[in-house]
Amino acid sequence: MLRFFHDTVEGVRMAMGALRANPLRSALTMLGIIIGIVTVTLMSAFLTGLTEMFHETTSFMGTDVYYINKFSWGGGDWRSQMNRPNVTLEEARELRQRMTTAKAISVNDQKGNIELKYGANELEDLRAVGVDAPYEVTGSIEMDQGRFFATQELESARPVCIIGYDIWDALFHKANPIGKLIRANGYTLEVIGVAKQVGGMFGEFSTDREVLMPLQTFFNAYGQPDPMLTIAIKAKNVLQKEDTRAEADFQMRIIRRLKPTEKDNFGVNSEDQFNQIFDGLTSGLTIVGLTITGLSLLVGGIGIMNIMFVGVKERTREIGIRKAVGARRRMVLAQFLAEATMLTLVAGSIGLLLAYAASLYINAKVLTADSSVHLHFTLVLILSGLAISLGIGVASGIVPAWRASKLDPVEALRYE
Amino acid sequence: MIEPISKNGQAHNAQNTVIFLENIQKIYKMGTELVYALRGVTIGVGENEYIAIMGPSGSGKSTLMNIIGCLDTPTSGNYFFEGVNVAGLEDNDLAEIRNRQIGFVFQTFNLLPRSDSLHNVELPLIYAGVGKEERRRRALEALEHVQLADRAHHKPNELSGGQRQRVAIARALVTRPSIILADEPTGNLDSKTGEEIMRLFNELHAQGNTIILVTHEEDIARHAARIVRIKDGLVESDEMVAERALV
Repeated sequence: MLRFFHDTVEGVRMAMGALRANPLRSALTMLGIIIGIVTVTLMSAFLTGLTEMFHETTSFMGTDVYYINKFSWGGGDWRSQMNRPNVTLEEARELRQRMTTAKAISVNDQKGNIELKYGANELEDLRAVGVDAPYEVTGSIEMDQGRFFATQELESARPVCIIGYDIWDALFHKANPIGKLIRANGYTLEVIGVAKQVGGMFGEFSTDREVLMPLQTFFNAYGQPDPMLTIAIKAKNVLQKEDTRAEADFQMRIIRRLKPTEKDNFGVNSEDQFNQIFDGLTSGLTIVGLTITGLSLLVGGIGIMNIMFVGVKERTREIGIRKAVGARRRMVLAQFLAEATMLTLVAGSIGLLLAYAASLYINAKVLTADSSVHLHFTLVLILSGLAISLGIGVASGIVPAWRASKLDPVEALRYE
Repeated sequence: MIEPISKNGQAHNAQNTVIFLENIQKIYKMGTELVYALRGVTIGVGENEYIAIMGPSGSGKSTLMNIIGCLDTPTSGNYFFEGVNVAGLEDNDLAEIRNRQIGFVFQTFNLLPRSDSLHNVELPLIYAGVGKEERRRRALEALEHVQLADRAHHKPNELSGGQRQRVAIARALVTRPSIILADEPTGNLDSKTGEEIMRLFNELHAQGNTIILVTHEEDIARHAARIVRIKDGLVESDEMVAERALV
């Protein structure tokens, strides 16, 4: 054990001497690994950032909320789902009476392609959402300004609305909107509040670009319920949300009088489904992205191996001398292996530093938009970067080092 | 300093055999042809002997030296080193014997060009597993022994040929080996410097070291107490030197 430690320390010392003797060559050889580590870690940081952003932004939907829709999200036969009955307000009412594991059950309807006007300002391609009182809970609505709808406003179908943050920004240029009248596809509404910004990749699909109004107001403005009617059910207990899901499914089957042999003719959807779809996408991206950037590391490794072969050849006589004065095979092997791994470890560390600096710069100067991906450096990333560097050093150094250790001392001493 | 063993400098002591080669054969295969480099050599070397091995090129002299130096193994025969038969040992065990028992001095010095004198002398101690402090101390001692303590931090290219060979001799001495094996140690030096080196060998011999000198120069060989002549892979003659060249 002590001997092994001694050998390792001496091997590293000899390797340092050799690397210092050839600084330019060492630097050029390291360049390949540096570039490889920079590209791979930046790619990983990007993928990590992408995944995190997605999970963060889908959480606006709430991990403990289930959505009863006509359609099931993410797959299934779309054409057969067309023939399902629409979700109705009556079903929402019945669910509210029956369900015991729900904290809140809301029903909402929505319509796209809404155009808002305030004075001379116009904003297109928005969504109108008709909501009820529990929507404040199921939709996790938090107010930036003003207030949520009062019961009385909801029941009497008052022409009031809550606008999303982006709408407020674009239509009012962040001036006070409360009490102002806006026109939504010709229907006049009074603004009573602004919802907090959601942001992120899905800001587009969140309340940021929605105008909320009482459900009855929505029907008055845009007509009767359409197939997009959604019942949102928030679980009483996050930890037992699967029970809530099972109960929602069970109660809906009773309400719709489905026989045990019949399949569900409605969808019980959740954010998890989105995440699953996305995880499939990112794992594909990860494999492709890391394989392509990994190629540059492979090239770097080949460079190291090449220079190690040259080094062994050049120093044949040195190896002969070392063997003549008593170097065992293991020591010669250790010396050259230490040389290769030190090259890659130093290069890997430089690469990680550069990649980190680059990620700070890119986050600060390039990916500045709130909604865009950010490069995310993690400790795991740094540690695996170093581990990979070490692995490449061993992999590319082992054959040249083994060849050096096998040299015949007589031949090696004769080498010119 | 150790007293010379006998007054006239001839320190042949056959009772304490350091190495004994018995019917050593070395056969190389060159393509389909077999080359007999050594055809059955038997030599014994006692403690504190000073012996020269002579022979023209192609005589098998170098092969014999490589086998004595444990750099190579014989095809057949026995080689007893301090009583242990090393003829059949494998690489790592031979490395250990070279490290502890043999001090090499080469014609071309064979110093590590990028390392200073001190590190070159330290080298065998590194492979012997000696700690840094003690290594340094012993290497400096050996350098002092060859009067080069003041050149400890010079690299080989900052030293003269004679100084380089003295560094190499210090390296050979530093492990206190059983034999010092010198292969044409003056071959790359002018005659004056060569004489200095031979004087150093005489001193080392007088201090009790066992020295095996391989050379093709009669003048150099005559510094030894005994000359073994090799020809065509066989011992041609093995005799004591009547009149040693004393420098």
